[in-house]
Order: sequence, then structure tokens, then C-alpha cells
Amino acid sequence: MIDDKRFQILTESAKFDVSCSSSGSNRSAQKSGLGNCAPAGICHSFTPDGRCISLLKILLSNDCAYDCRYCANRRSSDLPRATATPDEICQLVVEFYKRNYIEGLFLSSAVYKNPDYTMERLLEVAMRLRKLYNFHGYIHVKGIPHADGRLVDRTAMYADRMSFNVELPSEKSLQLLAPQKTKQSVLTPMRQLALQSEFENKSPKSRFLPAGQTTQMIVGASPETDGHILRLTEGMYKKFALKRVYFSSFVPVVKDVHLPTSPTGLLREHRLYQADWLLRFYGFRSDEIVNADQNLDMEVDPKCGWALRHMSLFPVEVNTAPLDMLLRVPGIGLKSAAAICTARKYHSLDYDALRRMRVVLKRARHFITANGKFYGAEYPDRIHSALSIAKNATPNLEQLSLFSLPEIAQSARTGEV
Amino acid sequence: MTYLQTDGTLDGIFCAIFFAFSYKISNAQAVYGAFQPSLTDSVVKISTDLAKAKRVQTAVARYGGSHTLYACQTAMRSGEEKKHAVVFNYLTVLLTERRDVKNMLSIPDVLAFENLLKRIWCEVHRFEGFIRFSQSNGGTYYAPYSPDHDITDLLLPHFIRRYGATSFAIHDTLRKKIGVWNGTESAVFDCPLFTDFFLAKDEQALQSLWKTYYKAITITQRPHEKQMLGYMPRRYWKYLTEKNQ
Repeated sequence: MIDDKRFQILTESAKFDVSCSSSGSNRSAQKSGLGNCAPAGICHSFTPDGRCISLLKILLSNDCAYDCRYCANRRSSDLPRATATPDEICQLVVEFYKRNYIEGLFLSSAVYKNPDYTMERLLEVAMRLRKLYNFHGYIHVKGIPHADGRLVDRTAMYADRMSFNVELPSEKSLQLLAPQKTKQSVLTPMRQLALQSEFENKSPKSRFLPAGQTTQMIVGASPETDGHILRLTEGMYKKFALKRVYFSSFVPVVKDVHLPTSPTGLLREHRLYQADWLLRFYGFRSDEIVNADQNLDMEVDPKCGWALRHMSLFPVEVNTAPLDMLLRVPGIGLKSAAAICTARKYHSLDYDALRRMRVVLKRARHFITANGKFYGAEYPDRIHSALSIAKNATPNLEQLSLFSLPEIAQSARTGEV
Repeated sequence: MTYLQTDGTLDGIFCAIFFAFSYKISNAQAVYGAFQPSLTDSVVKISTDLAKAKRVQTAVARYGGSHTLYACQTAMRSGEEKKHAVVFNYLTVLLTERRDVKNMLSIPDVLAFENLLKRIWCEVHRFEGFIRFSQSNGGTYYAPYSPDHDITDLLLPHFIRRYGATSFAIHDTLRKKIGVWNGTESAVFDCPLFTDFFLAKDEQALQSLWKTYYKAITITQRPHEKQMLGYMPRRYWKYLTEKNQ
């Protein structure tokens, strides 16, 4: 079993890979084996930063040959380096899995020695788990850029999901911040896997990458707009049939001249995820949400923003509107829209019924009528301010007291400001 | 308002339905345990007659289908005190409408019933993640847990599928109920809490590795405790290895 020190180094280095889901694969248990995959994915725990833990997220090695400027594990960084053997990783996975701590493994690695060597080691872990340890749980392998295509293909036969991080939203930023990774080194294997999946999945019993591919990019480290990021995201969904694109808000773990000094706020990442959901589930196109050279509005969510720009389409009558129009109403999500469509077949829905069905009426009331009745704002220009996130209205006030900090106490005593 | 005191079982509620429909009582409420009637309310104690319960059950199956019957049985697993009233009201709607009312979500009683079921199934899904096994020195994997609802037999099939050859036990410490799998067959029976439980040799080391992992994987620069608590309320922390130092 791996020792505590090396385990800590390898898992701490892995935490900025935000992909956490264990969904998408329907691998069933075998009599002689251990485990299965739940298609919906299962969250086993949650960290104090709000994210879920469903996989053992670990690096095979944090001893990197590359020198990407934003990464804590870059070659020129001075931090403890550790490498695990494939067997140590496999043992950890199996023991944690038996105790129901995890759904499976999320395996990544720094580029140890060279890309092919690292990819071989990653393949070895996946093969060992499947063949030697008879493990049928979830395996997510991070692909190494510049690795041989045959190694990538072979790994996809054992893994449930693979991902190659595009890291940055444009080739120019990638060249500046991660010069050893090129755009083609990431996109070529993604394209190759997408084509191979399409070919293999024609047969119903195929087990080639059941949970598909994902990718990740850092938001805020480079000057691209949200519109550019969304366009890229939409393109990747279409071209490579990705399951999900992850956005990681930039956190300055390393000081560098080309990087910002302060972290990008979580709000921007949140807005991007909201826009990503609109693309995938609500039938929006990226040009509807935001223009290519613009950023998303931080004050209102993208759906509200779109609705406010197209007020001529609203209000919609919930009892007669088609599903795709109901989905465009802010405050009505996928589940609420489905509930409305089911319930309205039997009785017409009034405002109270919508409230009971947990439609977010604070937002939706400006855009819907229920049985002809409208409960929204009188003046449409007031809606934007009503739906904006509350700004700090009152400044930071403190009641003066003799027992406050010395400077403030002095002010309380003398009356000077 | 007429309060119908049942014996707390599904058959008792069926008998209450029988009573309410026989005497055409419009404003009836099924209760179990403590309740506070007002001066103008009448209270009737319903005795459970299995023949009458069977008649109501047949009617429920005829109008609602077998899925409605299964839903009622699942709803009785709930740990909420008001569950009897919710099931009673739902059955009243079903037998008044005389057709499947599952999708009539604009009727408050129907929505309340569906939400009750949703809370039970959501808890099953949550515990598929939150159950933590520890290996005893005999080799069996044991997991104590304390759910809000009685879901031990709903959880067992998931773990049986997952750990086919391994023997394990999940122990509902609140209801003193244990679900056991020995590799070939399963059983659920009453079992008090264990006073002596010895861990396997490597168990402590593995638990400490997991605690290390939990600390290591947290991004401390972006705290969001509110979101964590939303997904993992404090009442589930009792048996989580990583939350107990």
C-alpha cells in the first residue's frame, strides 16, 4: 500500500482537474469481478469547496517534463515530486471501492520522462484494473498530449471516459502559457476517439469509451471573451460529440509575468456553466446567448439576459405554450417544464399550481401568464434590476465604540473623523 | 374535520378509506399517534379489518394500477409523521377520480404524495454514496447508517449487484434493522447495535488514507460550505469517515 506522504503529494497535485462525474456508463457487474457502474453517477462525498467526490482523483506522477506557466507541477517549480507504481494505484482503487468511498478512478499524470512512456503507464493501470483485479467500476483516464494514437486507442478500450484538456481557449494563449502543448496535440486524439467511438458504437454490445469524452479549460488566465469560449465549446460539442466541457476558474498557484495576480471570481465560471447548460439542454445556440466578442452579463444569468432581449416573445401562456418555448422562460427548468406539460393535460394550471410545482416565480412571473392572468412587473425596464443579483447596497459600517481598534477608538473619544 | 385514528399500517389506512367512503365523510384526516383535535372535530378509532383492507386494495390496484399499490407501500417507509395523512388524501383522490391520478400534479394532494415518494427515493440515491463500509477482522464489510426513512431493503439490491462475491451488512441504527448479504443470499432482520466490533488489520491505515485524500482534494482558495451542506446535510455526517476526526 502506498505511503501517506506520496499519496498526499499525488492527490494534492490532482485537485485542479475539476472533472468529477462518474456518470454515463452502464457497465454491469460480472460474477467473478468487483463492482459496476451506475449510469446516473453517484456522489460519495462533498468537499468544503462545494464540489463532489465520486472518484479517486490521483496523478500517477507529478514529476513533469513540461513547463506550463499556470501549473503548480511545472518543471521549473520547486516542490516535492512523487511517482506511484501502477500496482499501488490499483490497490488503492480496489480497497477504497470495497468500502464504498468511490465509484472508480480518475487517473491523470504529469508528463513523466516523455508522453509515450506516461501514456503507457496510464494504459497499464487501466489494463491491470480490468484484467488482473477484475474491476468493473468507473475509470476516467486523462490523455497525455503528443502520446501515440495507438496507445490512446488501446486505453479507450478499458476506460469508461477519456479527456484531453484544451487548457486555454485559443491557440495564441496556449502557445504563450503552455508552449510544449500544441493545439493539434490535444484536438487530434479527441477527433480520433470521436471517430472511433462512432464506428464502434454502431454495434450494440460495444464497450468502447461508454461515457464518452470531456475536456477542460482555464477561464480567466487569458484575455479571451466568454463569447469566444462559448463558441469554442459549442464547436467541440458538435465536432467531437463531447459529453461535457469543464471550466476551471483561474487560481494563481504559481507567480508568472504572463498570468494575472488575483484569482478570477467564481461568478464568471458560474455564468459560463449556466450558458453551457443552455447549450446542452435548453436548445440554445451560442450566438443567441452572447456575441463572439462580448462577455456574459455578470448581473443576470444568460437565460434572463436572452429573455430580456426578446421581450416580444413574452408573456407565454403556460397552459398552451409548446415545450421549447416553456424551456426558454427564466425560472422554468427541465423538470418544471416536464411537470407543467404533464399536469396541464388534466387541469388548467393557475399561479398557485405553478408555485406548488416549484417553478421559480420570482423570475418566471414576468414572462408567463397562467390562465390569462399576468403577475409580472408593470414596467418592463424594471425587470432587469429586479432580476439582477443584489449589489452591496450599504457600505461597510461600523458602530464606533471605545473598545474598537485604537485608531477608531481615538476617533470615538475625540470626535475627529 | 373527522380524525380517523389508524394503527399506523397501510392496511389501517385502507380501513380508514373504507370507513370514510362508506359513511361518505367529506372532511376526513387519517392520523397515527399524537394529534390535537379541536372542539368541533370528531375522532373515530378505526379497527383494522383485513377483509375490508383487501377490498380497498383491489380497488386501488384496479384504478391506479400495480405501480400505485407499490407507491403506497413505499410511501409507508417514510420517517415523516404526516405520512398517513398524505397517503390517505392521495387514495381519497384516486378513488374519487376512479382513474390513475399520478400525473395530475395540479391537485395538491397528488403533488404532496409524489414529493413524499421523491424524498424517499432521493435518500436511497444519497445513501448509495454516503454508506461507508469498514472491514471487520472476520472479513465482512459492515456499515452503520441512520436514514430518515426505512430504506434498508431498497438499498440492499444496489450493493448486492456491486459486491457480488463479498459479504457485507448495512445496519440502520435508528430502527435497529440490519440488511445482510453473505455472497449467495440476502436477509433483513431486527438487530440491536453491536457493542463489540473489531476492525481488520489494515482498516485503520485505509481510513486515514481516505481522510488524507479528503483534505488534499479540497481547493482551499474557493470555499463554498453552503453548497457542501446543501448536498450533504450535517445529519449524514455521523458515520462518514472523512467527517469524523
